[in-house]
Amino acid sequence: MAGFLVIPSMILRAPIEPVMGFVQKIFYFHVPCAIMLFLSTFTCAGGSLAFLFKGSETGDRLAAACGELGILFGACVLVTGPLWGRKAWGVYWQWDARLTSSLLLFLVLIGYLIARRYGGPAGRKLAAAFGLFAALNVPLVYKSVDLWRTVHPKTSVVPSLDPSMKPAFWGSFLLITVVWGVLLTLRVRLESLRATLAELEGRTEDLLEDLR
Amino acid sequence: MKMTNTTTMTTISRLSNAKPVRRKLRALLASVSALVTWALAHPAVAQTFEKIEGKTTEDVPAVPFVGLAYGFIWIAVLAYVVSLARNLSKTRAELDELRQKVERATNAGPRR
Repeated sequence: MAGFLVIPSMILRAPIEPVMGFVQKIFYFHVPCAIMLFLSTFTCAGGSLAFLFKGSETGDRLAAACGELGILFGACVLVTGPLWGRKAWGVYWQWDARLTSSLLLFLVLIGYLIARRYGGPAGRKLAAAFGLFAALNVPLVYKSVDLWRTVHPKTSVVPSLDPSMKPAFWGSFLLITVVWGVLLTLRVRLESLRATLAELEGRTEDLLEDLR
Repeated sequence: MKMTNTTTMTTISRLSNAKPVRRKLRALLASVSALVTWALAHPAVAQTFEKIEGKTTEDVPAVPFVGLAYGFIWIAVLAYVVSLARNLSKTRAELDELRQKVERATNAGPRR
């Protein structure tokens, strides 16, 4: 909990970037959220692979949890980015490669959840395919700023960050990673409880039938 | 006879409209030629940049944007945590209910 107070004060105390000014402070949580979006998508794909090829129920639960977390952090990226862009570029949105590919990734993750919920008996397998497709999109999103001419900053920003800004950035990254981990644990637990409940309901029906 | 008259009328009307159409085509051709000539004479128009003096810049305060961005993230995370907690407690309650149902049925024993 202390991180919720310490990290904002570290961000506020970090030096103001000379070109973009105060609005650059969005960077300290926009980039970690984007990394969590990628991490969620890769974990979702890993779980989907385990479910598709080994029939792993744990993999499926992990994938479902990460699909939701991907949407949560994707929404954070797609809201904080345009807010930064409005001040830095003068517009909220540009159909450039990075922004468009990020939106596409977000939509694929929404597709994952829709397929899972409304896909019928084969819904989980269909959703797993969406999960794999989303992971294929991640390298495209990451490299889009280097491959095409865009208004978005390049991938070299984080490695070449001013040393005085690094503690605030890595502190924020650590906090958001911890939040991601806690949310993932809770979501997987929920999915496990639901699976147990569904299994017990089936068994209970049989048991009650025998007792009657 | 009636048909021949109609055909003649159509031909006449075509001939009378031919001149304005030609005139329009000629005017269009002249305009296009003038435009092409002008464009060829100024090839670097779209490729040069001029320094603008006294440019007015939009001065948008940054603090509301940073506040909104930071606020959105924590509200979204908080909303997700609340939704997870609700679902967890609901699922646990359903599990407890099921357990009690089984216990009651087991204690009552078979009816046969």
